[in-house]
Order: sequence, then C-alpha cells, then structure tokens
Amino acid sequence: MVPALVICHGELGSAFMDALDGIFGPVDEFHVISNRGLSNEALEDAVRAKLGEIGRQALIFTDYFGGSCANASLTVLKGRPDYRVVSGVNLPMLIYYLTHRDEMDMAAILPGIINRGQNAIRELTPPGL
Amino acid sequence: MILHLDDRLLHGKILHGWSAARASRIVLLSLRLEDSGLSSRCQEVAGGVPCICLAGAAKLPEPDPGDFWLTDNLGLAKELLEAGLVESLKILGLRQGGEELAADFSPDSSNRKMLDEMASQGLRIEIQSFPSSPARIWPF
Repeated sequence: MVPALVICHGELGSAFMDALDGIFGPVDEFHVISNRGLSNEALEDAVRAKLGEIGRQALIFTDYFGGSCANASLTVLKGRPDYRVVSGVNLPMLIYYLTHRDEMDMAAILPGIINRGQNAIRELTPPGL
Repeated sequence: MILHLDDRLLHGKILHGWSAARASRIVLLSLRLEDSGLSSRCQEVAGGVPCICLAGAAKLPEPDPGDFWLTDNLGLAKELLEAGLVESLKILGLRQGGEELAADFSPDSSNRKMLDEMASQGLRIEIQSFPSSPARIWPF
C-alpha cells in the first residue's frame, strides 16, 4: 500500500481527513501536515520528519501548485524521483486513491488520481421544474 | 438479502465505505425518488454501477448476490421485512435529531417506536456505521 501525505494550508488537510473518516471510517497510512505558523524552513523540516516517520515511498498531495506546501515538498524531495507529488488535491482524488491504493503501485495509481480530480470539476445543472 | 438503510440514500460513505461502488448492481428504494430528479442523480452518483430506482416495494427485482439494496425509508424497510422480501435490515445511518444512540444513529421518537415494533416481531435489525465498526442488534 502506498501511504499518503497531505500537505496543505491551514486546517485543509485535517478537514480532508475528517471527511474521509466520514466516508470510509478510520483511515490508516494517511498523514497530514499543515503549514500554519511555519516558516519555509520549518515546513521543510516538518515534511522531512514526517517522511522519516513514514519510512518508505509515499504519495504527496498538496493544495495548490506554487504554494508554500508544494514548494516545500519539491525542495525536500529534490533528487528523489521515487516520491511523487500531486497538486490541486480534492476529495474525489483522495477517494480514488483510497479505493485503489491496495491494488496499485505508485506509477499505476497516479494517472487515475489526476484524471478523477480533474473530472470532478464541472458545472452542475439543477433539475428543471 | 440484506436491506441497508441510510437516510442520506446514495452518498460517499455508502458508495465507498460500504463498497456499493463495487457492487454489480444497486437497488434503491425511496419515496423521494420522483422528487427533483433524484432518480437520475442517483444513477449518476452510482458511477456506472447499474442502478435500479424504485419508489416502493412493488416490482422488486430478483435478488442477486452482487446486489447492494439501499433505502432511506424505515417504513418501506418494515414492509419488506414483514413480507419476507428481505432477510434483515442493517442501518448504516439514521440521523433524525433524536438521542445519538450510536454513530450516525439518532432516530426520532416515531422511528424509534417503529424499530421497537419491528424488533418485537422478531425482525433482525442491526445498527452499524462502517464495516469496521461493531454491529449492534436493536434494541440495545
């Protein structure tokens, strides 16, 4: 199973975890870091420490490309192509990840995660009267 | 066949937490299906799993082992159990503002009374929020 590390602004990562607990029940191998109150260096240290705690290849989700969470991930993982980082995390992506991580490795699961996340963004039309 | 009950009908916890998204067919029983396009929305939410939507207990399909049967209505569930059309009822969520007796289970007084009636008839009712959480037999 590929573990996940969600690195987001504020309480967003914890909120994702809380929502997923409401869908799947308690979820393991799912880790969260918030950038709240952390300098860039402190955030990088937190990411390093968490990856050390996880102890193996992990898939990293961040909230938006170019933000401090994504930047810290890329800095820490410089020269580590065995880790993968995905930005723009949303709930459908995480649901896809959790429902496929037991049967797929990192390379296989990643395209589906991105595809599911992109396809979930659409305009919804209310039913007619 | 187990009939599942959740008052939110088809949603994330049912699809993924209870693996309805991996069923070969979803059978939905609800009095609300005719309202506001709910039936077609359920088909869409089911994400490609064949979904039969019924507004009552009439014209029930032949049960299949790969089925996931789901209702949001305790009255309908009672009818089906009493008629022997389903073997048991598993309540995954019933959030009605009453006392929270278990996770996602806070029936109002009328539904609590109905549950007691069903139990007194020997009908099997389990309360279980997730597959990983313990199932409890009503009454408790």
